[in-house]
Amino acid sequence: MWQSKQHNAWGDPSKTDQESQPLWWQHDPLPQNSLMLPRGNARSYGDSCQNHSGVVIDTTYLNRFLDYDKDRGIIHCESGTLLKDILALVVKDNWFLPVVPGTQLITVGGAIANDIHGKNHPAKGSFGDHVLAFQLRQEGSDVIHCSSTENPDLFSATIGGLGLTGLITSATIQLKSIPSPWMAVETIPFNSLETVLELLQSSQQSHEYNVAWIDCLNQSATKLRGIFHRSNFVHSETKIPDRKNINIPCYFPRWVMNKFTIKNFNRIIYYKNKKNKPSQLPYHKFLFPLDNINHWNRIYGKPGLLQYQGVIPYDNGKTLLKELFHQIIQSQQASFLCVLKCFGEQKPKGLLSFPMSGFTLALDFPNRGKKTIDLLHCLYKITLEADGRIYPAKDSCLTPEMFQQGFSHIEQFSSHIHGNFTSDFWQRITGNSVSCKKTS
Amino acid sequence: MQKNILIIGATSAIACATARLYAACHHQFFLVGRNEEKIKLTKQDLLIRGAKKVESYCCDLTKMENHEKILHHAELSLGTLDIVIIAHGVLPDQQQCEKNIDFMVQSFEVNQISTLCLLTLISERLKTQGHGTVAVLSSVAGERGRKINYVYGAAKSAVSIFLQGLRNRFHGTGIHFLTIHPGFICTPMTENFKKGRLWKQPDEIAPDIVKAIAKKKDLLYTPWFWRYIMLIIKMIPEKFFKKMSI
Repeated sequence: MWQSKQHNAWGDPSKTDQESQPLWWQHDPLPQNSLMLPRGNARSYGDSCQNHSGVVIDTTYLNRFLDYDKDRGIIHCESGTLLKDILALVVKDNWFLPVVPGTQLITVGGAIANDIHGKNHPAKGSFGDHVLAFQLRQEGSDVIHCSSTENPDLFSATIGGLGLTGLITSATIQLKSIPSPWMAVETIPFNSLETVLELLQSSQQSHEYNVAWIDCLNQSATKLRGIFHRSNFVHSETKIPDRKNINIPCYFPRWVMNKFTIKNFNRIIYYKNKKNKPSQLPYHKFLFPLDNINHWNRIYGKPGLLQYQGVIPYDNGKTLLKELFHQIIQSQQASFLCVLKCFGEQKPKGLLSFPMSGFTLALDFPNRGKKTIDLLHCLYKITLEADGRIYPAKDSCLTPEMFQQGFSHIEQFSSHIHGNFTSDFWQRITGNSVSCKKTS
Repeated sequence: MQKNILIIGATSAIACATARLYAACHHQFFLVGRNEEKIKLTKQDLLIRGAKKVESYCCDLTKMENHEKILHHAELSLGTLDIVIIAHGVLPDQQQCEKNIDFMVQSFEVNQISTLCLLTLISERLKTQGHGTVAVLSSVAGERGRKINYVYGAAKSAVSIFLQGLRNRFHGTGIHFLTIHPGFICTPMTENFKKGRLWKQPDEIAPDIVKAIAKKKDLLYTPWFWRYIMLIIKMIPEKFFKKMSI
C-alpha cells in the first residue's frame, strides 16, 4: 500500500505538513483569507508547486472534457485533465497534442502555467502557442475569459505565469493531426559534442522530434558520448500495445545512487542503444519513457533530486556547453538523466515563458546537499552570464538576482499577480524567503 | 454488448469515475442528480469519452414521489435497465446528529429511506424485465457502529441488510444485487478527513466496481484489503470494542 497521490514537489519527496484543498467543481468556493496556489499533478521539480505560506488548491479533480471538435481538432477541458487522458481520447482520431513534455502525467493547467516545451520546440514552439483560450478565476471576481484577443495581457501573463495570476479552470487547445500513433525513431550514437550539435541542427529539417541523451560520467568534456534520437510520426495500421507499469514502492537508500551504479547504468543505456537501427515505437514509448515507472523519483532516496535546466543562446553555444559539461563531469555528481535539445527562434506567448532560441540542457543530480547546490549555482552562473535563463519549473535554488537576470519582463508580469496567489518559489525569488531547498 | 445504465447520484465522485469506464465502452446512460449544472458537466464529459447516449433528470431524492418519475423517464430514455448504480448519499455531522433529531432524520432519509424506496421500485421493474444488476454504494462504516459516525453507519447498515434480503429473494431469477463497501476514498464527502496511506482515489476503485458488476459478485470491498480490515474489526468482542476509539 502506498500513498496514491503526489503531494510534494517531484524532486523533493520530504514530508510536508502543507494544507491542500481539492477543488471538485469549477465553481466551488476558493479558500477565504488565505494565500493560495493552484497545483495540478505536482510534477514540478522544485518549490514552484508548493505554498507553505497558505493553501495549495488541488485541481486534479477538475478533469472533465467540456467539448471536443473531432473535425477541427479542438479540445476544451477542465484544467486538471491529464495530458495522458487527452491523448488517450484524441489519438484514436489521429490527433495529438502539438507540444508534450517528457511525461504525460501533468495537467493542462500545469502545462499552461509552466509553458512547457517538448522535443519539437523548433517545429511547434511551446504549449502556450497552442492554447486558444482559457478561463481564469480570481478571488472575488467572475470567471475571466482570456485569449489573444480577450484580456490579452492577462493571457500572456498566465502562460508561464506559474499559477500566480489566478486559477485556470478550463482551457481550449488546438491539436495537431498525425498519420498514426506510431513514431519512426532513429538512434544515432555520437562521440563528441561537435557531432551532436551538428546532428541537433541538421535534423530539424527532416525530423520533428530531436533529443540527445548524454553520458556525463564515462567521458571527458571534449569527448562526450551519448545517443541522439530523432523521430517523426508515421503511418501504421497496427494497434498500439498497452503498457505495463512498474511501481517503485519505497524510497531507495541513498547509497543506491552512487558513482559506480550510475556510471554502469549509463554504460548499459549507451551500449543498448548503440546499434543504429531505425525502429517504430508507439508514441508513449518514445515520448514518455519514464511514465511506466511509477514514483521513479523514489530511486533518488528521501533527499530527492535537484535538476539543472537552462537554455544557452546559439552564439558561442558550443564553448558554453563545453564549459557546462566540464563542470558537470568534474563534479562526478550527474545521474543517468542528461538531455540536450534545441529551442527554435519563435518568441513564446508568455511573459515568463522559459524557451528562447538556443540549446537547452537538462540533468538530474541526486541531492547531496551543499555540494550539489554549489554545483547548480556554478552552472546557473555560466548560463546567466551568457544571457541564458533557468527553467523555474525545475529550479530549487535560484537567487532573486539570478532570476531577474534571466527574465526581462518580471515587472510587467508582477502587475498581473493576483493578490492572494503566491508560491514558495515566488517568495524565494522575490526575496521574501532566501532559504534554499533543504540541504539534506 | 451495449448496456443501458441508470446512475442515481451521478455526480458523486465514485459514480463519475465508474461511469467513465462504461462510457469508454460506448454504453448508454440515464443520470439522476440534484444539481443541474453538475449533471450537465458530467453528461458532456461522458459523451466525449464515448457514451452512445446520455440523458438526465434532476430532482431531490428525499422526495419519494420523485422516484416513480425517475424510473419512468429512465425507461422512456433507455428502454430496459441493464445496470443500475445507486451512489447518492451524505456524511452527516455526527455531533449535530446527536443534538438535532430533525437533522439526524434528514440524514437517514438521504442515506437510507430514499435508497430502500428506490431499491423496492427498481427490483419490481427488474423482475418484469427478467434481468439486470443493481450496484449500491454502502460503506464499511455500516459494518460496525462507532462513536464517530454511527448515524451514517446505521443508515448504510440497513442498506446492506436490505440488499442481502433482495439477493435472497431474487436468487435464481437472473437479477443481481451488488453491495459495494468502499474503504477510505478521497471524495467531496470525505474532504475534511486527514488523509493517510489507506486513502485511495475514486478512479483507483472504479475498475473494481466494473469488474464486480461483470462477475455478478454479491459483495465488494474496495480496495481489496478492507475485507480483511473489516474482518478483524468485526471479530473484536463488543466488550472490548465499546472501550476503543477507532
